[in-house]
Amino acid sequence: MTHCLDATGLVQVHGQATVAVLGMPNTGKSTLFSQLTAAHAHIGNWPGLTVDLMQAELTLEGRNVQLVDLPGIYDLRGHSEDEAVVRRFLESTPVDLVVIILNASQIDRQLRLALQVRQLGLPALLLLNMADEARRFGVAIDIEELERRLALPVLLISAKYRQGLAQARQAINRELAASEPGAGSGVRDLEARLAAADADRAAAMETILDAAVTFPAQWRDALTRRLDRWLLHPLLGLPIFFLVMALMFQAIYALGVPMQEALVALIENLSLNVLTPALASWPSFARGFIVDGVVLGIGTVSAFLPVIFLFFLAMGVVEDSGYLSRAAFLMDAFMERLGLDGRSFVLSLMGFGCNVPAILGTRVMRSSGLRLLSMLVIPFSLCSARLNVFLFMASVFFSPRQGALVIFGLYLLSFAAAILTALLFKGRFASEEALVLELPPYRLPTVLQVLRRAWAEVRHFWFWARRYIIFGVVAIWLLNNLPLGVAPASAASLSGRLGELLQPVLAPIGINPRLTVALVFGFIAKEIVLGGLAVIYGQSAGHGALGHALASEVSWVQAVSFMLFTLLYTPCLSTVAVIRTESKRLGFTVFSVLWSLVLAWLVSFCFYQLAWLVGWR
Amino acid sequence: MEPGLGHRLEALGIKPGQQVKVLRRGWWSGPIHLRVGMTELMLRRVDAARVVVLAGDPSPVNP
Repeated sequence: MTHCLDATGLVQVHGQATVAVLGMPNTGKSTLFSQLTAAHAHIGNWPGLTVDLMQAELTLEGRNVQLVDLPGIYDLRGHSEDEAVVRRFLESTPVDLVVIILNASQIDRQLRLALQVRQLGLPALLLLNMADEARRFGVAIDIEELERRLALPVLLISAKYRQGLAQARQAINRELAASEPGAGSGVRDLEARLAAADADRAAAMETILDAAVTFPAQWRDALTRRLDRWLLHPLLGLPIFFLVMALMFQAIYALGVPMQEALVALIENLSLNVLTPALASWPSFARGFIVDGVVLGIGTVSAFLPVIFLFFLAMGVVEDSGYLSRAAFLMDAFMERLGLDGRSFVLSLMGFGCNVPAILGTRVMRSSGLRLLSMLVIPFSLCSARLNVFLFMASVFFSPRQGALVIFGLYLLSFAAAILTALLFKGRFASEEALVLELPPYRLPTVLQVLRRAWAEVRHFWFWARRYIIFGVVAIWLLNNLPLGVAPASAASLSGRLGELLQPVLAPIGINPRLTVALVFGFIAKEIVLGGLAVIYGQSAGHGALGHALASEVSWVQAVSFMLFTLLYTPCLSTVAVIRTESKRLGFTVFSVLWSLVLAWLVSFCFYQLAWLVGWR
Repeated sequence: MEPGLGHRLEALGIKPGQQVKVLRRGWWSGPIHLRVGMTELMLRRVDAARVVVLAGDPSPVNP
């Protein structure tokens, strides 16, 4: 194959046809895309668009085809970011075929998108998905009549149950055979042409629907009606929702944490028993760099994988079943007052397990202001790694009863910090989009579908986050071990000197140089704060020795101040990395880190100084 | 009306002359749950207030 660059900078492969998949949200478009492409799809930057699109190069009955999954949109004339992306794509890319995918049972409104594509004169093929649902709801579609009136090939399929996929492949191939690949050009004057045809389209749509579609006299989805009566109940809806969430959490962390621990143990084992002996002849600095820097970095990244996988499995079930939009309905009244919406609430809740997948989950939002504000709020959710540190500190400094109160207080503070942040910044990250969400009928998610999606998310996370995390871990290892020959993380090391240097800022909140170094560790991941303290105090984290060493030097007031700071500042490097890759904005990422540091300092300062005034030591 | 909202509502089936059924209203002036043709939607009251609706026949909606 030969590549050449055309005038617009697009890489074109000769003899390869470009097929774009276009459809409304909630039509099973992604499912269809993954069914058509099997495992070949990858996320890549589409030249000239600065957005990531799912793409796949595949051979369809002997023909080389590049399949592109466009973002789900409602309207080619719409004002959302995704709609603008699709317009730019169609204007800049010569598309050989547009595969339009619509929800068959909602053809009464979705046909509009097919008509818009038709009016642009693009070669197209219409797939009516969820044929099973249309049948269940009593929507009867006369395919031949529809084909005749639209002058497009139309197929009834069910991507979820893999029905009609072979015919869809053949139809795509047939349509491509009729045209020369790359013969077309991008659409010109897209918006003007659509605007001019508005009135005609509305009339045409009515005529076509009258002729080709029969709708049921009565709404038939009794199951959804019955479930909604309970799940959206004015009094019971929220308690049921919280119960479902609590159970989901329990399940994710009951399964995920042991998997995470096993993975960490495996990597530690490998590095201790295989790598360390293998590198025995290396100078100690180089060995330390590989073992405690690079390998620890890879370990830190992979430790997140099981929880992320399980999280997206659970999210997949909640979303595909239709419950996520119900949760948004229930919490929207409260979240609207914070400048957020119901979906941000669900994700913040997820953040109490782990912030990383929660931030990845903000992709369900379309408005960028809303997404950024959610990303700013989620890191204040007290994740399980921070809880680990707090449980240890509470056991060292407090009786069990006091300790429980302290931890409960930290949970309250976590909510308060999130709410405060939303209230302060909702003006800056205003959601420019009205919230109009579809409440789809309840559906049974298929195992294959949720597994495939969770796997894709894990791959995506591994691909993007690892370089940031490994870089960060290595950098901090260097801080702790340079200049050459110092005891790791001691006062003479760079991080020890940093601890001294930061005293003017951190002494007023009761953080001594040694605790400062622990906070530097905590910047990588809260999972290694305890390990860091162990290195700093030269005591093993088990057996209570570290607790004694800590309690002999640090007062309980200082300990609480340390906990407050740990709760509120940057959760971990992985979180920073996903904020960076998801927001695609360096400035915003820096802002998010700075704000969390400022808030952490202010809260710790107020607490420590007040405690001092009251006479607590 | 915010420029995008009209288009979005039309794409979701709320267009002039369309019959709309309110299924429920959320607590604490939360969103409203609507049925339009074969689609169910939630719409915030602020946004819903911009749509002019005439009281209609209370019989079940036929799309």
